[in-house]
Amino acid sequence: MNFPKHLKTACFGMTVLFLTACQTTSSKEVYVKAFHHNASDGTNNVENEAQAKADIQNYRFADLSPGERPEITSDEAGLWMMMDRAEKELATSGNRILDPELNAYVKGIVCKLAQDYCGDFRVYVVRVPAFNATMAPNGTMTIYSGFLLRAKNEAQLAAVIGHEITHYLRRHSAQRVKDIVEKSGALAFVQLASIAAGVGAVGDLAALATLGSVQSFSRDHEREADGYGLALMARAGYDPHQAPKIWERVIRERNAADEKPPTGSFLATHPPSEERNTMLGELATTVENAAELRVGELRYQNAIAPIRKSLLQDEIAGGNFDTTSELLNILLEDGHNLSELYYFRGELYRHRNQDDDNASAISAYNKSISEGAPPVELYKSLGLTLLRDGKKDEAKQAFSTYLKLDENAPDRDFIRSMIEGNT
Amino acid sequence: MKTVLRIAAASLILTMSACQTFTLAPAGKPVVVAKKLEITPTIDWSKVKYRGMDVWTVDGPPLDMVKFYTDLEDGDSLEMIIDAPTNKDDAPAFRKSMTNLEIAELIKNSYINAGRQQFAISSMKPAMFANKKGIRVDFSYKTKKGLDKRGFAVGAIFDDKLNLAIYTGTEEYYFPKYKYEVEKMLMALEHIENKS
Repeated sequence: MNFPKHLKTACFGMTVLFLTACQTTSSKEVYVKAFHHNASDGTNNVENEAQAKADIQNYRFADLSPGERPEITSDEAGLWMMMDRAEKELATSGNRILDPELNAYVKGIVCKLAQDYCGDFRVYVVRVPAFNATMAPNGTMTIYSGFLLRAKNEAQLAAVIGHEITHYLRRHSAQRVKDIVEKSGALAFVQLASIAAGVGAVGDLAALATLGSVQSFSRDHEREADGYGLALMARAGYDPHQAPKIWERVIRERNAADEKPPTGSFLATHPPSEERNTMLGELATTVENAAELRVGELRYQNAIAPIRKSLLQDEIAGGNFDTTSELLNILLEDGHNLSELYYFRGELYRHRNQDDDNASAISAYNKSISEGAPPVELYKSLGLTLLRDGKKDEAKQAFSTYLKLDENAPDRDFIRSMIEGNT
Repeated sequence: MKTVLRIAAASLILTMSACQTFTLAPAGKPVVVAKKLEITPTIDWSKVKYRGMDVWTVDGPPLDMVKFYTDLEDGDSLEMIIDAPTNKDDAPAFRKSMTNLEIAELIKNSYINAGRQQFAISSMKPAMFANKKGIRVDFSYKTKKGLDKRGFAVGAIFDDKLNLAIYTGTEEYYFPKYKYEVEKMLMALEHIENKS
């Protein structure tokens, strides 16, 4: 795909205008620094802005305008067509969270960040217990429930959404395809399909040599998306200091894991979290009056409250004790609905069921009760744990409390039968 | 990733349909499953052995299916099939110390772990399984592609080993079509050792 030079220049001018439209942020500086951030030593190596502009001009395609679609005969249009098909499947997939209030809330934040581009994005919240969000070249954005669970506030959500919006605005997928075609035409279609599916074709041994540079190239996109996304969030009035904080949380969880993140996951294909964290922290300091900008913690927690229990249940079902334990530590430090969190800590121990886990589970359940608003299911779990300890009378009491609090529980017949000693 | 899943699903269907042979289990003729359970079908079923499990179907496994898990030992997980392979490393495992209520949790977490969406238990009751006190769990879920499925599981622990039958089908048409026949068949199921 070739763009006439005058078009490139015009579009670059538009980009600068777009970025400098923000009154509270030195956005241009932020973007340039982000682009030139040196991954190896953590420094910004921009000698002068003119050089940076020239680099940018040579490096990327022009931004899309609001509502713009690629020329129908272009490779990029083919990429869009593939994604349109994939989006149809996503629209009817079983893992979508359809809660209208939550969807409206997330879409509202997307629009705050995207402004004139709001209509270019379709947002799909999907129930997948992993830290991830994706952006397809045609404007299909997916927000994983695992990410919603891990963010602390609206500004952290905005940081990741801003990052994803940037992938669209800067046409990163089209740039990757162009790069792949230039490096190896024979592999282009394989890679194209992989990109359209939202993942790198890391399993294709024949493509590994090409992929080395492609993945590296895409990390430049990631870096650019971080810087540009940070400018978008600041323009929308969110405190950019929250951007590195989401990564601090992810780093803690990752460090608790006994294995590296699986290939193809967000963490495996994105720049190392520590590097990203440092860069975002540096960039945030360049935003004027950042401390006065919005964090939106209570509003965010209220928005996810109706689904948080089901998301925590998904984490327990995932069966990874160490990372889930650290996630619960982080959420407990945040301090929202402690009863619910202590209940799930108890569930984590009860499901692992090793050594002193029974005692740890009961201790966590009791903490949940003492916090004042335990989930009803706690009493069933407490009864089961007490049964394991041979404390039949106490178990019956817990089961009775469960039935008293939820007369319509789907397992009421079974619990009643347990109380009567028939099962 | 979707491409990989499609290939996996296609491989699964090929494996089940080409490499394994379905045989007829005709109505009224007793069939022994895993040398352990004797079943007398009330309608004609097609059965196949798949990954150690006995799988029965009338119209095809994606539409309606009964899976028989026999003699699962401490540490074994429930093999999930059809549209997503089980993530075995993290799959919930059976423990011989489990109560029947925990067996229901095992079923639920196994489905969630295998990528089923919006899994919900609608009912859980005491039930007899091959003349043993056990549990019946009724549930629903969505496949990754959004197809609504319903199912129920009936099972019990014999000699520290889990024995379980799970019937699933599409919520529309197939699940209700054979539900009554499966219930009749499983209620009449007998443990071979108990037969005199």
